[in-house]
Amino acid sequence: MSYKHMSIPILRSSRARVRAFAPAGCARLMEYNSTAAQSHDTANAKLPEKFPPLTPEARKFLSRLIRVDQAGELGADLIYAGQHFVFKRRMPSVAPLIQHMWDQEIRHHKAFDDLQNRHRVRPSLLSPVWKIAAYGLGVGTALMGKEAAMACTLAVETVIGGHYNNQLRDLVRILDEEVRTSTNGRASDELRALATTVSQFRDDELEHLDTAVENDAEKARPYMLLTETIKNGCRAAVWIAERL
Amino acid sequence: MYLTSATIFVHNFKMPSSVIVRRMPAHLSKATFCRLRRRSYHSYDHLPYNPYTPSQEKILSSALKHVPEYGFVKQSLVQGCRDAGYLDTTHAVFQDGVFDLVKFHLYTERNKLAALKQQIDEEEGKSIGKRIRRYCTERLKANEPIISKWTEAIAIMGLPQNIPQSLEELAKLSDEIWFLVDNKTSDFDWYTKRASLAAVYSSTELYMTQDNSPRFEKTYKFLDRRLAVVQNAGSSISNMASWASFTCFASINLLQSQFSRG
Repeated sequence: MSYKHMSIPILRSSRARVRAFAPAGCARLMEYNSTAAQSHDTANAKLPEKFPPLTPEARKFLSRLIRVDQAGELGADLIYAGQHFVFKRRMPSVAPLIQHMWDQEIRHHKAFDDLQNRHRVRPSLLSPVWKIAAYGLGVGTALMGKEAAMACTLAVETVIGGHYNNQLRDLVRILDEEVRTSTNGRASDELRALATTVSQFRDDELEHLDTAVENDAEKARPYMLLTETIKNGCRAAVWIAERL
Repeated sequence: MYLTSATIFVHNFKMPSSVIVRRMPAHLSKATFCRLRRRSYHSYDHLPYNPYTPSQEKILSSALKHVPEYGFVKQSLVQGCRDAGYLDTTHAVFQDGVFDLVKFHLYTERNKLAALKQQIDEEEGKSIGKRIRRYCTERLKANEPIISKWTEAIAIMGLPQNIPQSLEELAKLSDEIWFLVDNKTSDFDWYTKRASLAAVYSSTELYMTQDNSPRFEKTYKFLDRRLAVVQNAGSSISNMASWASFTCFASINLLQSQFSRG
């Protein structure tokens, strides 16, 4: 991916910020996964030992994480649904590109729905609002044209990618704590799987960000107004969805 | 067995209760004493969070055995402390007093439902309605031995300072039942389902306190009627929703065909 030539400083800085965590965090996660794989080979058919109860803070963090990510993926799913609805009719050449990203978002959305039900986290109280807002945003930006739709993708994925990175940092901290306190020197499968899911989804979102840049997101007019408005809207929605 | 630090009650019985609690041994005074924390994230690899220490559990469960005789009053707690081998005054560590006893009853009976899952899945088949009814009846049966005193508990739960925790406990029961019937929902109906089941259960519980029929037959009939009403309402809402979405798409298609014809 080439983003060295990018001329707009705010874009470069936000992308740099989004990428900043990637190397260290990913290496740590891979380390956890490899140690877990080794111990799985040696521990033959022995029932896994239960870990001590999670602290109230950790449980609060995890339920917030699942709730906000579920709401976010629901939103992303519906933004692409709205864009696809318009492009299918007005610009059939763009539809497959949107379709590809939409399919990935559907997969993410399903994964977080499963996690939410499995871990008994309540969904966001405002999910009907997120649905309407996201579909409206998708349809609205798509009606403004391909560039605006891509600028929308860019803004949303920048915020979501950064948010996933923040969550990963805290998750790795919890995993570190668990490794430190556990008897067998490794973290629970459940939390490791969650961290892996989050990091995979983060990578998918960043791929969408690159797709948007490659498809003339920066040519949208008015670019700054559009992306900054959407970014701030996304940040507000994240803040609310964590709590409500 | 007498706790050494519990003897401070005997010597300084005029101490404010906050000081006494601070001086209690660590295994008796958790920082957030007997507060049922929000159990939001449910983990499979970690042990469940238990809000009670073993000594608290011992005292409260032996106190519950005295409830049919004395009711939800301090006397039951005192008897419980005595049975568990503590001084009578140890009941002072329960900051919410008798309400702690009520909460412990709700907490233990709710957690017993999960053990019935396999049996209920086999006996009631796949019908969600039948399984929900079964969980409700099982939970109501746990109230049978203390039903004559349950109005006292309802009065205690209804005190202004206790209402938030009582409602939270009711919500947790409702959530537990929906979880045990393997219902999966990620939408707003997560809230409506839990609210309607909570309303049905709490009204049935109230009805049960006034029921004199043998083996509470009238209560279980009342439960059936209430559940049927909720199910009808639920199905008519979903019918309305599917009708609305059909009409919406049909009108979009109609408009589209009008425009394309020019």
